[in-house]
Amino acid sequence: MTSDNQRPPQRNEQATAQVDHTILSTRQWQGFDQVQLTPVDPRYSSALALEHLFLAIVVLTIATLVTMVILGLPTMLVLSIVSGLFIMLIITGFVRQAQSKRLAFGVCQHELLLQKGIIWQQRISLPYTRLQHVSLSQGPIERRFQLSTLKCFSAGSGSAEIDLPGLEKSQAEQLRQHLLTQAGLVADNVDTESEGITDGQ
Amino acid sequence: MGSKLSQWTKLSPWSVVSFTFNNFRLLLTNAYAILPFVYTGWNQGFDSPWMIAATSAILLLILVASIVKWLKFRYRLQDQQLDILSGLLFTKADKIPFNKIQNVRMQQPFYFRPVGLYSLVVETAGSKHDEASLAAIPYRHAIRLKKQLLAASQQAHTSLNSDAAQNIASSEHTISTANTAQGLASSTLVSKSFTDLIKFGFYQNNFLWFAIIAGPIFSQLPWEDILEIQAVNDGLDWYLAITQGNIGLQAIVVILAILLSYMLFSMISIVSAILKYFPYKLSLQQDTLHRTGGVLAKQHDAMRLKRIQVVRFSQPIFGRIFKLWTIDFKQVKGHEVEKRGQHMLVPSMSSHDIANLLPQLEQLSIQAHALPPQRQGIHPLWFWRRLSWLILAATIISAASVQWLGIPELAPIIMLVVGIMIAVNYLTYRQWGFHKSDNDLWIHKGTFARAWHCLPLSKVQHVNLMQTPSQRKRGLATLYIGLASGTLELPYIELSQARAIAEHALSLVTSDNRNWI
Repeated sequence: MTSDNQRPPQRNEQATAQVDHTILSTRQWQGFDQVQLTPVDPRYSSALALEHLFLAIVVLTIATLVTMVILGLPTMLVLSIVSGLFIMLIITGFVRQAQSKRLAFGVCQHELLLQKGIIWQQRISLPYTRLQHVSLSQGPIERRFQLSTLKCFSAGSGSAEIDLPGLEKSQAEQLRQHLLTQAGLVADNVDTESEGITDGQ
Repeated sequence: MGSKLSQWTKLSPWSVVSFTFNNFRLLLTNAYAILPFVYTGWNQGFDSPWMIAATSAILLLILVASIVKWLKFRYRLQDQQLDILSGLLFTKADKIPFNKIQNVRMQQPFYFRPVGLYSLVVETAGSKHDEASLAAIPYRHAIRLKKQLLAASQQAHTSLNSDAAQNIASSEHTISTANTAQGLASSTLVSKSFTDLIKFGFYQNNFLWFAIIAGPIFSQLPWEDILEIQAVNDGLDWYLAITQGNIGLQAIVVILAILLSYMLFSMISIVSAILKYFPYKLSLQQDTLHRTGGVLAKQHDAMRLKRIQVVRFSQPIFGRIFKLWTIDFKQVKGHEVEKRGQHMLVPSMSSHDIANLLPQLEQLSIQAHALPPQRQGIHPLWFWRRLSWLILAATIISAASVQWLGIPELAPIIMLVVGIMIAVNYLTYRQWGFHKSDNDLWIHKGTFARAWHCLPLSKVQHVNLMQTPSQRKRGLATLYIGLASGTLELPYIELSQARAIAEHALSLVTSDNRNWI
């Protein structure tokens, strides 16, 4: 895991250390869009495939029922509509697989990085100082594959800035703890700094 | 001070009036609730006994609900928080810590004007509906409450900020609030005359949007029925008589009609601008902006400068004639002051006025002192992409309409629509650009109107760098900059520039632990 050697110094060290002698990681001499990131768990692709299979079954069943029973269309038309849907589902299935392969993240010293998208390739950076809220969730299919989804929120927008599915469950929990500590460290820093200033006056 | 304030207090009975009006407004804004009544009224006549019974029952219900709300309503200021108890069956206890208070707004609805009472609206940094309102407070008491809420919240904040200068400011603040209730040094930044507001109402009006929205609605009207009306008939006869089928004259009449409705629209806009803002005054007390004004409802808005995320300078099409800008201060999304129409704005500002105003707002996170002199445009590829997609779509649809659908008349209409879309895209492309100076990023955008958004990079929450394969090939990128007030897009700029902006923002933000919202 690349994140291990990028783990920031512990809290008590930070209180005393004045100069940071850690060797700069490549992160610091590369742009945030250039660093190599860690792909999500390979099981995520399987989970996604299973989910897509369920989706396909549901969509095709409903389409068949609606066109045949409710609308009473001729068999040829029903067949062509359903096969058209089938082809679309296969294409979206492949696209989603490719997307899951692109999904990668990086836990840096000051920020969380996320990479996603095949055509619209995105690289998102959320600094810990701007982290408001972290949530960890697990759907039924994810539970079967021991996976979790991590969401990170900042202020203002209702949607998550970082939506990272396909994390191994214990790793996700660890990451959540790490993010909370980082956000907590930030809050602690604020407290100690303001105290320092009141003492000085 | 404040020993009296720390006791549970009831509101004045006058608050019933305010609650009644609020409930009534709630009923009207949820218009679907009254649709059945309007429908029955339409069918059975509005004087049907059922109608009268139902209407009076609703009115009675609203009145009773308001009285109950007043009876159960309690508030107090204690332990650095504002406590509010309300509700009959489900008792609701709101606790608003002072440091979560974003704004305290004093307003005087028209029904409180004769009795000299005010409503105090407390806006918080919580969820969208976290807003408390204390109705029917006498002026002196309202001022005192507001002072206390704002001062306390300010202290709570400055203790969070490591800024030494701010601490000094806050200690001064405490002294001055202790001395007198109204002894705060306040300097007027901007005041706007009657003519300024007339100009503002004129250039700010949304006639264009009205025309776009109203067009389809007008086409839905039952024109056959309308033509039966005598007055309309006379008007049409008059129109036919004077134009006598002359196309030039007809065009003139139509243009005159449009101009006339435009003038009417402007008049409405001007009147509402004056009612809402006159006499306009923007002042600064310590680090808080105050705006006062309003003819019908006296409003008093306060907004802390540190809380401002983005400053927007917008110029509608007609604003360009006068070379005037409107300044908006954008806050954390979800609890903007402008939730119900824009309150905290500065109307009718020339670029000279802006250059005078900005340096006075020292606590503002942006460093710029004037509008940027120039901008760097986005790459033309942005426009060429859209152009080629639009032409492709137009060709396919027109070919389909001629070949398979057998409606060749559709083709020219599609061409026209696509032509307009291309023109709109071109105008947008021409306007989109940016300017970076120090820690500020300016983004210029618009289609007909235009606006400069000034983002302090120190307020950035997240950055997103996006590249499509074609952008990658040419070394371009689209940059999304997320702030608490929303995300701004800067498409098709050079990758190195996008990266430089993003890295600059990250370098400021990762080391800045202060509260940014």
